[in-house]
Amino acid sequence: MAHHSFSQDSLDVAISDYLAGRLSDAENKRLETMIAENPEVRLRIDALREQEEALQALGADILDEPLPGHLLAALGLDDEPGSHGNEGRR
Amino acid sequence: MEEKKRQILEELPRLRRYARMLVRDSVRADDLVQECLVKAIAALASFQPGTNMRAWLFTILRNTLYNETKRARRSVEQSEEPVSAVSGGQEEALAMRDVQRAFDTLPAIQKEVVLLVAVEGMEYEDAAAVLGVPVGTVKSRLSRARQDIRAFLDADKQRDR
Repeated sequence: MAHHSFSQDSLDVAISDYLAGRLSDAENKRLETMIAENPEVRLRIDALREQEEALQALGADILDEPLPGHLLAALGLDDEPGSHGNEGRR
Repeated sequence: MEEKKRQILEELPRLRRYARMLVRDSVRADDLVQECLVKAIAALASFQPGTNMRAWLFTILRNTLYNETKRARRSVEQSEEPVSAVSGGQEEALAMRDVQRAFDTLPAIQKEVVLLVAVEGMEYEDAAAVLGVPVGTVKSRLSRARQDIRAFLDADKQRDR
């Protein structure tokens, strides 16, 4: 890749930050200018997007699990009717 | 105090996820979260309202994880259970399983930065505070982790040809 100021590694870092919404408005604009001038950067983003989305979704099913009673008990909340994830309580 | 406990309750699913992604055994992971809760409640009076509860809890959880690991003399990388089931379309499920498998091969220090930054969406500064390392270290470990994941997935694709 040529015609932009990033090494491969720092470009990938910038793209990951871009995909995760971590860049400032100014940084976003700079990256988007670079994308417009270097089509291969767009391809790189597409390649990294799938991995980034998969990373963000790691363990997502664990978030939906009902909370074990002993953890609610540790908070003194096991008798709370509105406790999070109440439905599947054993 | 009740407000702080309510905030802790909201963070419980994330704490469980972090522990489970590192320890794999769900019973052991939840025991570690419980230990973390006991410590957090004991220290609750010293928590300043308005500061970052999530980072505070993750720091306690992380310390609990590593103390327990030293006591038990077991690696946090030991896999004791199959990865959690993936729902959704066939292709989507395969991609998720691949990234999960790639994640499982990472050394623990890379798993931690992936979990805090990519999965929990923490700011670099907060992740650095939880891990007790400079921001630059978080960024380089994360960059390395992403490279290793990509390399694993590329090798995977080669094998499938």
